[in-house]
Amino acid sequence: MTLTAAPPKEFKINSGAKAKCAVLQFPGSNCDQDALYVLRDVLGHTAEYVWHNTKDVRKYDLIVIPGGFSYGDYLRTGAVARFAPVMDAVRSHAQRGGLVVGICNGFQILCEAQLLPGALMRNTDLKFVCKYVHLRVENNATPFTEMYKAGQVLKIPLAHGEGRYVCDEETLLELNTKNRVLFRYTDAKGKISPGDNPNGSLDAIAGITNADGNVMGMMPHPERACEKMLGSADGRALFESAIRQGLERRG
Amino acid sequence: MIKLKLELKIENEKTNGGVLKIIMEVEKKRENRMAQVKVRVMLKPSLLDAQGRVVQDALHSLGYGEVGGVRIGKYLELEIEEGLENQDARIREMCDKLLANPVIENYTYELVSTTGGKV
Repeated sequence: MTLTAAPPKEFKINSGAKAKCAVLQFPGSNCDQDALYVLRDVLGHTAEYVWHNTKDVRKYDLIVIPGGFSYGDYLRTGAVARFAPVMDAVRSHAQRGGLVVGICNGFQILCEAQLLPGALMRNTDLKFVCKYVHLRVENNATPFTEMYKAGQVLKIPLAHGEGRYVCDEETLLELNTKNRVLFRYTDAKGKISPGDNPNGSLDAIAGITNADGNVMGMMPHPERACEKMLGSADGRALFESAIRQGLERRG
Repeated sequence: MIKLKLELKIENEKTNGGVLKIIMEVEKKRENRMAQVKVRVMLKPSLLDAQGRVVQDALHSLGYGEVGGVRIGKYLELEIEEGLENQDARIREMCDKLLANPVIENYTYELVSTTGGKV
């Protein structure tokens, strides 16, 4: 599937159907509760924790791999979690066309599992960065971004020490030409500058999708930006898009 | 694994001149000799090693201006059973699957017998 930019569409959000969402838990996950809270309490869908040794995730419309420090980040971030039994189930889910969202450590795990290309390395300045950043929506014709406008600038927090996205030139070309970059780090006006790249990511990449467009990963935390009261609600449309698409894929 | 095969032929009156053949097969597992695999994992040269750069800067500020570059990697020691079939292939598999991430890292390894010599 080739992803191309498309104008924003109108959506009926409250169709009444409830999505079943899984929030994976590894030893060391720590954003699992935030993700569950958004899916269940903010958006009103069904969501449950799924332990890392679960072998079947077929009943879920959407799988969220939350942030944290799975297995203490030993060896490399995500390197051990990638071999947990639930990841085989996630791979099968993805092969069936199911939707997978990886946030922060979830993104790192998906890269280690080679469900997404590239890798995440130590931030250029070696500092753990924890702040609000601005992201530009690069492609709004994906199951995860269809409720955003193309080029929309989002305010989303991030918190990580190893978020510098890298990949080889061939992969970068592929990501760019097939519109597989979902978000880039920018300033508040949507302009890319080195000063607004919080971790030194290649091409200011903050989030990408796989070739089939059903698995995505991003370093910033949209689940921490779903209520205005908490500073920003810009992350909400990502989950709304994914849930809507997840329900549609039920078949 | 060492296999021993013993054949005993017993002839006596009771078997009417027949032969009682007892075959004993003894399998003796070779005493496991252990070897050590020394694995070195380095970031690919094309990638920025942020830690290495900071260490290089620190060395410069200590007056070691001759240092032109620092790269930081990982060193792992594995104790393994020696002499298994496909030993090298299995070590490479361990490195490719888990110990190194081929997207960003290269690795080399050295297999050393516990008696000291290279295997």
